[in-house]
Amino acid sequence: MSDTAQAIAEEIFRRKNRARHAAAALPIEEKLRRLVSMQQRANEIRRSTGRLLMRVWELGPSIRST
Amino acid sequence: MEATLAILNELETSGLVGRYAIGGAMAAFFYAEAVVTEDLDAFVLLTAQNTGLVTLTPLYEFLKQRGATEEREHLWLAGTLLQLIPAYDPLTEESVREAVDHTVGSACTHVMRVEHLIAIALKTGRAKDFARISLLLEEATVDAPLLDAILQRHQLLPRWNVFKLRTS
Repeated sequence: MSDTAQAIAEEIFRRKNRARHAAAALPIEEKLRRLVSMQQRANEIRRSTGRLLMRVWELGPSIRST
Repeated sequence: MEATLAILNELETSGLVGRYAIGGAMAAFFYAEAVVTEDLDAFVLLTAQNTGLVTLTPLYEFLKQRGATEEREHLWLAGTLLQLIPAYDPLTEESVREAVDHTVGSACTHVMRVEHLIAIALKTGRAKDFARISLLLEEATVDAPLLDAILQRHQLLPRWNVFKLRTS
């Protein structure tokens, strides 16, 4: 691998790392909204492959609107 | 979710459980990024009945009176798939007792400390548990002396050393 390619890859990994730490620092309410979104997307895949669907959580008004 | 936590708090106030605490993937959300999960693990300190028998039946009855329905080994309770798990060893009992209070929306709840989550995952030892440990070590603020004391108290240091060797 060339030095340039390595530098690009390292920068990509650094950005990913920063994004993950930013995601970890989000308020719990935002994480729960992301969870519901992930559950819905997981169900799209499950539906298309004929698998049992996952229950999607209902968050409650304060969490939905925070 | 908020309604579920409110009912869990009611369960505790009723005296049917000594205390409850959120564990598992949902507890990890308080310390690291969210990952997909289907259920909310609530560990409970059971109070022994007059017979000395320890059973989840009164808890299930209490929750069903509040609208819960059984789904396989879970309960669907106020919009959340709930897994009630009795604290089953000294480590999980300590984790529930020492859980910390957090607010979620308008509800207050008890959440296991990150150091206890790591110790429980280490003891459980499935691939997904090791993945959770790695995630927590990378993203959470872990109190190293506290983790060390927990691992020592529950004879988990040999497993910890193996885990560290595998991941180093």
